[in-house]
Amino acid sequence: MDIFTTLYGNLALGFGEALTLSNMWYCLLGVFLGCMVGVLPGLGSLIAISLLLPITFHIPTSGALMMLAGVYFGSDYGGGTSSILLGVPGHAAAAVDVLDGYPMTQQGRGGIALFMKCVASFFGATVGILLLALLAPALASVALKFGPGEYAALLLLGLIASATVGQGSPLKGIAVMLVGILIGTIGLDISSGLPRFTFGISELEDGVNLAVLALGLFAITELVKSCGQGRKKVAEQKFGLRDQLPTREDWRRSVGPMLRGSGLGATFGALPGTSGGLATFLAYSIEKRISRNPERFGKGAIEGIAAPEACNNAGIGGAFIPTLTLGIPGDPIMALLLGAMMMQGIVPGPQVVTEYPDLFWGLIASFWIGNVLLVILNIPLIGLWVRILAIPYSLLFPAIVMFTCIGAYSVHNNVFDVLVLSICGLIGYLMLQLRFEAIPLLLGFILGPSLEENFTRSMTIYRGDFTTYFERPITASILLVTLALVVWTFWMASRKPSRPQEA
Amino acid sequence: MKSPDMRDIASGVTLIAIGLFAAIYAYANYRMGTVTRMGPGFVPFWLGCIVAGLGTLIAVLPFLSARRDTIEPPPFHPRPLIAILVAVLLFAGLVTRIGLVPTTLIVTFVSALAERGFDLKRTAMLAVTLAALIWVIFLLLLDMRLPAIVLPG
Repeated sequence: MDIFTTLYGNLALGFGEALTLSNMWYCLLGVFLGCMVGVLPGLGSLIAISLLLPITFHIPTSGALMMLAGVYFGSDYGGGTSSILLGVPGHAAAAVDVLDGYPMTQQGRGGIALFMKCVASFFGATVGILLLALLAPALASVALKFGPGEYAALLLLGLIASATVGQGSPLKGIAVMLVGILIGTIGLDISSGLPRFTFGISELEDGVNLAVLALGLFAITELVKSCGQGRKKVAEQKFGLRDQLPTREDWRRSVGPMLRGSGLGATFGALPGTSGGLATFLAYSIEKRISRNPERFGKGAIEGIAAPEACNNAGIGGAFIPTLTLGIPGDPIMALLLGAMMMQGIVPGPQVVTEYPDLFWGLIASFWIGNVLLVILNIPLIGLWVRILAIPYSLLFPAIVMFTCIGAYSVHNNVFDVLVLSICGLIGYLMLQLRFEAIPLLLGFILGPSLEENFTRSMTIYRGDFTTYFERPITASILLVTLALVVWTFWMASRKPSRPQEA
Repeated sequence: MKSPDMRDIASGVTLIAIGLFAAIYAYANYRMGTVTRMGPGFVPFWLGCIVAGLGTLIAVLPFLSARRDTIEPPPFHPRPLIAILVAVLLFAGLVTRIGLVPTTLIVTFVSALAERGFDLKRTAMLAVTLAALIWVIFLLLLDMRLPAIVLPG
């Protein structure tokens, strides 16, 4: 029972840290703002976090990370709300909620769908967070023995996974990821202290700012893309508390799917590159396959909400495992969180668990608190979210343009960053037109500097001999997995005429 | 045989340009060092070479196979792109010179032009509301170091 006493001690430490008044406030603020942005169709977690990233540079580390995690949970949750009520997913992972959630709304059972989503997501999140709390310290203690070579190999694996799992061509994904690393080299070189690619502009010596790049690539590009697209209206619904309570039959149907969904999500979430809906769609199709009457699916079956929703939220907990213990993010949002950590002067990696235990466990505790707050915010406040959904886009986007500009300006209180923002926005839109994905670029940008540093150091240790990578068991097996991933992706890409829109 | 996709060729050529630029610039300006002791130019040089190589593959492959990517990008809309970029540039040029409140009014009008069916009265109301909101949030509550309004003279 030793492991559980340690876990108890750690969680007690975490809750002690997370339950301070200021941290609770940041968590609540994050969850609330996340929900608000997430509910708006087309504005997913990525944009929500990009918009709030500049603010976090000005607040204490644990509060900043708790707020960002809250934004992540909140916007992820809000995305599902718009799936159920409008039939328009707020983001890719919420697309599965449309399948049965929107039919339930059309049948006047939208409130019940939202309630069950809330319960399932809370359940799934709890499973994911428990798994994270159990596995993270163990994984971190293994990873503490890693040297620069092992890190370089792991970073390469994470980058290749993110570049090849997307929807577009894997070749382009890898190329654009490398361009991201190149953008990451802008600024003062860590080892020599010399400026690189700054072209004599002193503002570039700090490098391109992460928040500015993310705002340009995601917020500006998304604004340009969605202008002129029509939007649906919310169907008339009642959202009193009584209209939201599921029947006994609904509960009975949902328990099994929630358990299976959580298990699936937690397993898949820990693997890099599997976010964006793959696991949630898998959870949905498993429920459909084992159901005694699969014909109900797609017509408002409550299982079709419970399973993917539990899976999605368990997956978030799982995805934090490699992010927090290895410093290898599983998806772009995790990468942004890592970037925020770096901005606060914390080097991500296994030492975070041992060197900053209050931060690490506080963050884990705040995930759970954030999910409790989500339940509290969403059941009584559903009317508010419905009203936000109804805001016309033409009123919304000038406001987002302003918030984006102010966000970029506030990073260094400098107009130069706003100019960089406009360039990043233009690049993002051109990339969209040329069918490049922005996510590998962002990951390359965030992880590139630490890949370069670890690679350089490893080559010094290995006396300039590349083959050492294949002689050491850990680096050799990581590189082998990477190679297998590349071969498999290209083989799949050459077999199919085109990769499908949704995995 | 179908004609190769122009977008792939353009993507490839762009990557070649970026890669070659990075490689040549790094080679010319930064010390390369040795594999054991890498200089600041080492990683950018080789990255540039690999990017240019991948770019060549991407540009050439469409000529070799008839297979085409079926994922269509969204149609190209110059109007929202120009309106939003101009709005951002105006913010950059104006915010320290005339202050946050008048900049908000101007940026709101320009970015509202991104959508067809520009409504003067509605945009004016939005601009005023937004300017008030932003003044309260960013200057009063968050205490940002920006002038609310700079009077001429």
